[in-house]
Amino acid sequence: MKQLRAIRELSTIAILIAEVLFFAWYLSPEAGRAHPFLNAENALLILKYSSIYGIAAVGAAVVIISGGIDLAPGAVIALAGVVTGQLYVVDGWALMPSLAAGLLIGVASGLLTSLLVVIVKLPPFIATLGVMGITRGIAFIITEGRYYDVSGRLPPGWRPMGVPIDWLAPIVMFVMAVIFQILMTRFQWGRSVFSIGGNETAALFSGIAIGRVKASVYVISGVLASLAGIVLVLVQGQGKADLATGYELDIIASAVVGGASLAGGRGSVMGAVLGTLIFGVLRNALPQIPGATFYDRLIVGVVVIIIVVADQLLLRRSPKS
Amino acid sequence: MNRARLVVLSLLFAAGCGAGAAGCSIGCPGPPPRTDAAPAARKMRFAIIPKALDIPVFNYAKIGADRAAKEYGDVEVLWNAPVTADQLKQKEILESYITQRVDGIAISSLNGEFLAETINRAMDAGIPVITWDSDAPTSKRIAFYGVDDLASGRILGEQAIKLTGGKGKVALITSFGATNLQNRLNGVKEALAKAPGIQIVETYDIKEDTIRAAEIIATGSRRYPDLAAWISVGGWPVFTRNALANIDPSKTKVICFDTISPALDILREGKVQVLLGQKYFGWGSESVRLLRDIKQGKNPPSPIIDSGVDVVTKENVDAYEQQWKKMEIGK
Amino acid sequence: MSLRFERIDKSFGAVHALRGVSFDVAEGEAHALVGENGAGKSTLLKILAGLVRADRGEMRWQGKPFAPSSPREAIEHGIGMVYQEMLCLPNLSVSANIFCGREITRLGRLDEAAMRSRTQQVLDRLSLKIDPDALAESLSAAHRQLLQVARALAFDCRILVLDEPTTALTDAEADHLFAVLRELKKGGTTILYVSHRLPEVFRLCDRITVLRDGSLVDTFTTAHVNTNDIVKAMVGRELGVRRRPSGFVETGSKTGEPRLSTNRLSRSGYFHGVSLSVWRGEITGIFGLVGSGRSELLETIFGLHRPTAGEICVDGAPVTFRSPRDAARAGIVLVPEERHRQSLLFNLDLRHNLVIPKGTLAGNALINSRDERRDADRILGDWRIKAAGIDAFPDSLSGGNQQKVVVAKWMATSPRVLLLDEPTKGVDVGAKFEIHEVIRAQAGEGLAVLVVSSDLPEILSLADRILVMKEGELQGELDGATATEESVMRLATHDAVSV
Repeated sequence: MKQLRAIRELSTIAILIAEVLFFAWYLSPEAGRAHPFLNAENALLILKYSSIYGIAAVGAAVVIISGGIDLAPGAVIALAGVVTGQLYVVDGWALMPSLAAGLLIGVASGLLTSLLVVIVKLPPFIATLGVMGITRGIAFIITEGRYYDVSGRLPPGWRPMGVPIDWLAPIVMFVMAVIFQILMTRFQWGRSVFSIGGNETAALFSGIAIGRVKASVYVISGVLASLAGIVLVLVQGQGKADLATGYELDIIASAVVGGASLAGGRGSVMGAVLGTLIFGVLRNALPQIPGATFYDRLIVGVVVIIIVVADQLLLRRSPKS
Repeated sequence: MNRARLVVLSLLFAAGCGAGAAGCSIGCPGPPPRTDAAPAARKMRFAIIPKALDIPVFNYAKIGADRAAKEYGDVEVLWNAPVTADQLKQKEILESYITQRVDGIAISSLNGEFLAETINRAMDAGIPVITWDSDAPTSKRIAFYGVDDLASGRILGEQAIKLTGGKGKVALITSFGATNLQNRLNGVKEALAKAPGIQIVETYDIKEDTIRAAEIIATGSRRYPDLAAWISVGGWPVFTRNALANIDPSKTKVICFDTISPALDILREGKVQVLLGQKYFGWGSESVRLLRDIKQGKNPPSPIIDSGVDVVTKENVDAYEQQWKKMEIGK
Repeated sequence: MSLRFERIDKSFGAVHALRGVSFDVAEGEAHALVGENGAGKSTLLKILAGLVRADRGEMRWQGKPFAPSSPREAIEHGIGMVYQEMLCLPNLSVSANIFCGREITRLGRLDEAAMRSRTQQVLDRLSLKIDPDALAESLSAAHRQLLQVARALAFDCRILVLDEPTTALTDAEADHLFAVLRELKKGGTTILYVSHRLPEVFRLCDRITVLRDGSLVDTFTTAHVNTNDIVKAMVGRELGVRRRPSGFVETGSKTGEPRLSTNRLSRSGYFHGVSLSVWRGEITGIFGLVGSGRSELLETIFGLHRPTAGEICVDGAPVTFRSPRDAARAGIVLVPEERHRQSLLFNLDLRHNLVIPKGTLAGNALINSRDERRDADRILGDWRIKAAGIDAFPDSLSGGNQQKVVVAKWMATSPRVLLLDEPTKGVDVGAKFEIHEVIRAQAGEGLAVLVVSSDLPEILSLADRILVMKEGELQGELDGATATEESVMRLATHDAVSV
């Protein structure tokens, strides 16, 4: 039934394409004007801002497939950004070490979550809720409400590895997506993640190292969130404690829209990235419709339900629990 | 993973990149500014961006803008802002309107410095930008419409001196981080400096959170029980009814910016003595008018357009209110 | 004619589950439905229960056409279903379980008192000493099974349909159930009894309908046939169910250390002071009634729990297993009792299920798809697992084939010790036979086998040595060649057995 899994991602792609076509038509301008939505700059903008969610959504998908959940990504994004900002702008570190420190934040938060989930055996919801509060809190303590102007210190026209900064985010997202898609489908480890999510008891009984694998998914989620955080800081130019507030729900929604089941054992990393693009397009296109600004959240909510329901209907074709 | 899927997805991504590379690199000039050679049927899309959606004063700007658009008939207003004051999100929104090729942008900047680069990009892409209420003076924006913050601050200070007889302790309320509020504050301090009997005991930061007004005033009044006056460069104390409840007007005067409801009622009750009204509807309607003129080739005579402030006291509050109602419902 | 099936036909995609099956169940009789899994019994029951719609054919209930479109409809027509899987809400009380979905209300509010008293009535009728307010999860497996029966009986049912009701029951409890069923029959309730346990069928039922590969073979009158006749009809061939010794023990000898041994192994609350040895090439059976601690013993050996006292030794050397992974790495593998909950991954296809223990233990990071698919294909063939292919999912397999998957996946790891917990529970006769054959063959090649079973004939036919457990302790040991049902039961109950 590999066909079914292929269908899952294909359906997400189809939805994305349909969405783009819809807005291309709906927002098509009168004669003689450039298309406000369907142009290269706008596409890049969508990619740029969706990527922050997308990078973290890769981690979220892995966690959800394992049967867990992570509520901390938004807070980790913020703390990683704050730490990088503090070291780079205030303490005068060089850029690379500051970024590396930001990444370490993700490792630390991931390890803390693992400790709580695997050893203390807290339900992931509670554990990551706690980690979320702790990380966000630390971010506020460090900044005391200020922000760090990172773009001020960056050399003007700086191009990391020859790539303009606006391209950095989507490229990182794509690279992470490919890496983890391969890890999840071609490596034993990925299969173990699916197994644990599908039936943890059976996975345990089958000789899979449950503790190690579970710990790894939370560390991955933390690292990817911190990666998203440092990318965000570089792209936006500021490190603040209230960055990415509420992002975790969008990130989880993207993973679900991309095919991950919150019950575990099902999902796709590529799908999660496509899910962020679906929301990114929506966030970009809606403000172009006069009066639609306030409908943003409502429409997003409705879209999530529709997509998940459609996905369930597709699933019901196969005799699966 | 199915190799075919990997290939397809890579192709999609590459196609996107290819289109971008072939088309425009960042900052490439877009189509030249349009002259009015187009058919009359086409509407101009103006993006009007307040500081945030949850600041009540700006709702009146929206009303003004919508009404102006309706009157002109050839303007479409896109009203968008971050849900709560967030510089980064405001920049994001500004950026998206650039790539979406709107015909004009009018923005009240949370942080003028921070937005300057993006505003310049819009100007370079052929999209005219004006600012209102809160300026971005270092950018290439064509014009700013709003109060002269420094001057209005001075008026606040002068009114305070008048009411207190030039003597006593005063406390200031502002919200750190907004350039225009900082300028008003500077104006207040400048004016107060002329009255040696006045002592500024503290400047409170309300963080754009109206709900904290009551808290701050209570805390302040406890700390300085013999305050002669509260001076607020923003309307937070008069946006709710309870903030000034425990003020004794015979002892403590209140001089405040903004006349948004229920400020006028509170003025009538006597809890606040002087209110400075901005041109709230004007922010919207003037922005639309200015952008429209610019699109038709008529640039404003000067880059700074002082909207002026209305000084409202018990004497003229009724007339003021009447004017207000007219502008709200429409001429 | 109370219930009549007329040319019922049903397919699920490529699988033709029922081919024009027709038979009838007379009013007031106890009628057995037997056949291998995959023969179509479960499908027929699902059609009767309103879970599935037949493609062709008709059912008649009390003379009128009957085609329930939901379980509720079937219940309302007086069809009481008692399922094999424990459909039970563990965190609710007994009476809540019985009335789940059909609560008694008064003016819109739950009438707890009425439900409790009715529950008590039903429990009394079944002579079950259970407190209606007790939480379902606190009941023993046997009681939970009987709770199923109580649930069906709580509402006036005209026909009681039981699907393998005695799998978790001891002989004593099964007796109890039969007594109740006989009473119900006397009272005019029709009984449709699906079971693999032919002795039970012969005890209880008046007529036996045999299905094979979706078709009706025949309906027999119990008095006119014997077990072999029925088995032949079910399987289409004659099976020797007699005990065959494993070749290794005959030709080899018990030298050196036992492959697996325990020394006064204990886990408080479950078992105590268990010392046993399992030799290469020998099948050791553990028999015991429910509650004797056998499953917990196997799970502890497999590394799932830490023992509170005693030690486990492999080849004479003491070992500590901190997880099943450790145990499996040492070559000790377990085929657990509940394959759905403890063994099968329903979100992955058969190839993954078959290959995971081997793959994950080998420690290779990368998955070699081609090799795995080839191995999985071979396993399907070698074990004669009836499935659409390695890309099928486990839920499309019958119970027997699912169990083969579980055993096969572990055998693929080339273990040294095979632990089995109720290996043929809910498995059809054909698959049971095949699994036994494999166990014997592997033992013949040197595998050490420890099998726990409450199926006496199974133990007697498989084991070279029989250990008997009762209430967490080893009561004694019997030689497989000379043991009888009676001698085993005596040890298991410590009483003079009355079977």
